[in-house]
Amino acid sequence: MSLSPDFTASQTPGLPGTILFTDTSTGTDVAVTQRRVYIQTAAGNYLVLEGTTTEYEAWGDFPATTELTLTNILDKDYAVRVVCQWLNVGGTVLYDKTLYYGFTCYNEDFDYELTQTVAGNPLLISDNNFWGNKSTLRTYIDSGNNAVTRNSDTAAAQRCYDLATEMRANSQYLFNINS
Amino acid sequence: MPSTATIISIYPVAQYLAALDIQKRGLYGGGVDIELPQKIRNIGLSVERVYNGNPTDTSITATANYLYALMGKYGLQAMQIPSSTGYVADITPVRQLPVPYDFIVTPTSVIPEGGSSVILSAFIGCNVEFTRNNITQTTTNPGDGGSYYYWNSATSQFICYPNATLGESFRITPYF
Repeated sequence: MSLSPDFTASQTPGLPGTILFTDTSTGTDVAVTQRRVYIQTAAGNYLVLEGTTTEYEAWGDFPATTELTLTNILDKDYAVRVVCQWLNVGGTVLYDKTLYYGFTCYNEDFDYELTQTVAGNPLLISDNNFWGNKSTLRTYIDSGNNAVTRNSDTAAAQRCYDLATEMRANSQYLFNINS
Repeated sequence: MPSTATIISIYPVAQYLAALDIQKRGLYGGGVDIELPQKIRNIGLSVERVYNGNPTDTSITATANYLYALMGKYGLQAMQIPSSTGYVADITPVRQLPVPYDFIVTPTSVIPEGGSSVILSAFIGCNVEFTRNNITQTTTNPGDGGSYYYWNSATSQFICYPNATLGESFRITPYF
């Protein structure tokens, strides 16, 4: 029985720099012993953990190990092209699969902080400065997600995420949290 | 106060209820904040995401309650919808009986002169009653050379015995 390669990537609220990969392949292929994960940004760069000298992260021990956690691999939100390869012991690629993801945990966490702020001070929802910018932040995140999920357009998505990141970085000027 | 799970499940409904109400109220939403649907969605999405990440996290109760307060009467309406609507029962289509064949035997009729067998595909699944020259026929061979008929409801093959003769009156009536 051949292998039907598949995987997912996810993030957990509160851990914005971390990505969890899960191998969801079905079937078997005794020749496969290891995997590699390439995470390519819209700019063409590969995201790897600090200290990694290759363009990929190694994900060994197939099929026993089904999860790979890359802690603090992200420093902001990214739209990425993820290529996972399944290889034999000699390093020959036997299978591969490409998926596009928008990792938005930084800006989503920030958006939730704003929600907590407004929950603590409900009058803020009527503050055009606060609400208008929170709405814009949401629009950037949603637009980026749409670009990735509908068209695999990491360039447009990254632009949206960066605009959201810019709002997050300049939040003291955009969100009147003292009113 | 509803649970966080309930609040998260009703906020999309409250959002469209608010949007509809604002639209019906006309100019300036009749005093209702015309951005309320967007606000409900905005706050709802961020609460929902954290809840989905960890449903047991009780720290989101405060923000969920704020979302509930923001929904206001639309939240109350939204909670009533699942309990008052029930479900739509399946509709069983009414099966129409096909139109009977009623004809005088000619060289070109459904069963032509000298013929006996015909496929009546419109009658598949039905029983048929065969009247020949205004006399109801049976499917039992009388054995004396008298007339009778054969009907297969699965294949819709109809055979009359003896063969049709010119000018005979035939009526083949389907029924369930």
